[in-house]
Amino acid sequence: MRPDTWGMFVDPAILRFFGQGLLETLSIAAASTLLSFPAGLLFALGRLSRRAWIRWPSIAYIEAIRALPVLLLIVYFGIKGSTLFRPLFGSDFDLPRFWAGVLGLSLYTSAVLAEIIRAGIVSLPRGQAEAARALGLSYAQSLRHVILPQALRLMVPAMMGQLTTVIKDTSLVGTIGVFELLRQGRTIYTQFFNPIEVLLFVSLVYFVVCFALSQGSRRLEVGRVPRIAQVKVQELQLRDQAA
Amino acid sequence: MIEFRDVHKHFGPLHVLNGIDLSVAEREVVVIIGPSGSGKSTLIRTINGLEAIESGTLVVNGIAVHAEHVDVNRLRKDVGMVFQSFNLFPHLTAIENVMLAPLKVRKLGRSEARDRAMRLLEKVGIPEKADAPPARLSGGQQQRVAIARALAMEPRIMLFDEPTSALDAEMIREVLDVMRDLAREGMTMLVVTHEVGFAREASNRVVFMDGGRIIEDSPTREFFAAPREERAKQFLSKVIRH
Repeated sequence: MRPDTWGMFVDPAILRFFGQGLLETLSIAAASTLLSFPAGLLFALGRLSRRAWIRWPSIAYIEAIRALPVLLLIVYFGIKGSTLFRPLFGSDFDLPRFWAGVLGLSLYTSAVLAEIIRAGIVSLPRGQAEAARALGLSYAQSLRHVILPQALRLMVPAMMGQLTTVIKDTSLVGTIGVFELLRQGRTIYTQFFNPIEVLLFVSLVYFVVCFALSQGSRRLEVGRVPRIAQVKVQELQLRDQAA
Repeated sequence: MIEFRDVHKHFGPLHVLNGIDLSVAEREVVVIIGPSGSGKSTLIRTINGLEAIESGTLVVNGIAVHAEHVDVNRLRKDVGMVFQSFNLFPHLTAIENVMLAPLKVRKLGRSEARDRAMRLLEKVGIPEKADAPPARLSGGQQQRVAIARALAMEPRIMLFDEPTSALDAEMIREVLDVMRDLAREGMTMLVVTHEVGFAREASNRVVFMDGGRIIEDSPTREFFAAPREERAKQFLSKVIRH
């Protein structure tokens, strides 16, 4: 570390450059989360389905995708993404790298979210679903009005945890040429020869964003959920992390 | 109104319903007693299709419950159920619990559903708790809300699965009072309970079960005066002494 290399971090042009990177990072994270949540919900319900032809493909998807490195998925869409979508969007379609990265991240995140959502649903006492069904609510109605409102509240901490993971994993998207935060940092330190300073600075930015999120999630109202269910969902998460 | 014909069901090796024949007429109040694990709860849970049966026939309100392609939800609209552990929806207030099914299943308007729910909360004696979440209600109050919730669908049959077993002594009474009123109004009721006092006062018939079979099925007065079956006698002497 050389003292004269720290001055650049107050230069507005440099800061703007990092700012663009951060914006790209947050955009990728937001797009990936928005895409993967509905997909995760579908696969969670699929895995819980009583119909084998829905359940087995859902299990296969979740387990296969979770067992792959995110980087592999991102690189795959970076290389093959355009050809993959050409049958849909025409022969001159070119998948922007941003979206290739988002797809890779979303694929992985949807499988993880599916497991988080499933854990939330199965951790509810069985009596909740029974009471709903006994009142004559259909399966869809009991999900919509009884099960999901409770399960989603239970899942808030785990989902926020996953969101911070997504934010950190956006750094992998730099490998296919998307100029997110870390990639911007690389551009700078290869010019100024100060990798340690830049990486420290970038770390600080990641830390501030992720720490703020995890603190914010603690304050989120977890809501009126039976305590027994909260305990169970924590156990599931711990088991998941251990695995 | 309810007709079991040679109904069987297993849980693994356990023959939990072993040739059940039982019929319940409209406005009848039938109490089912017996040692735990005798199949009482399973029996009433088959009536609204929460448990499937393996063989035999079960016709409820003109619907063959376990025939193929039967619309269970249509059946469940007319069969209310109250559970041992109340099973109120914790994310809704008391009145929202009562309103949910009328709104979504009966497609009532909001104000109509609200009026009906309020009337029912008055009937079970806790209108002042309408806006409280279940977590802020005592067990007895929760169970009364659960009864109001089941009644909101205007069922023709009410099933009670050990409704007071999770309650402290002082709360048992408030729940039984509501059930007594209901019986007096002519509701068709099947009640699994250990409350001998309630059975004596409010029921027309007592069904004694053991080992998945109905051992005895007698008019209430006869049953308590002199149970015909030895096992029922033994059980009764234990319950009453306790």
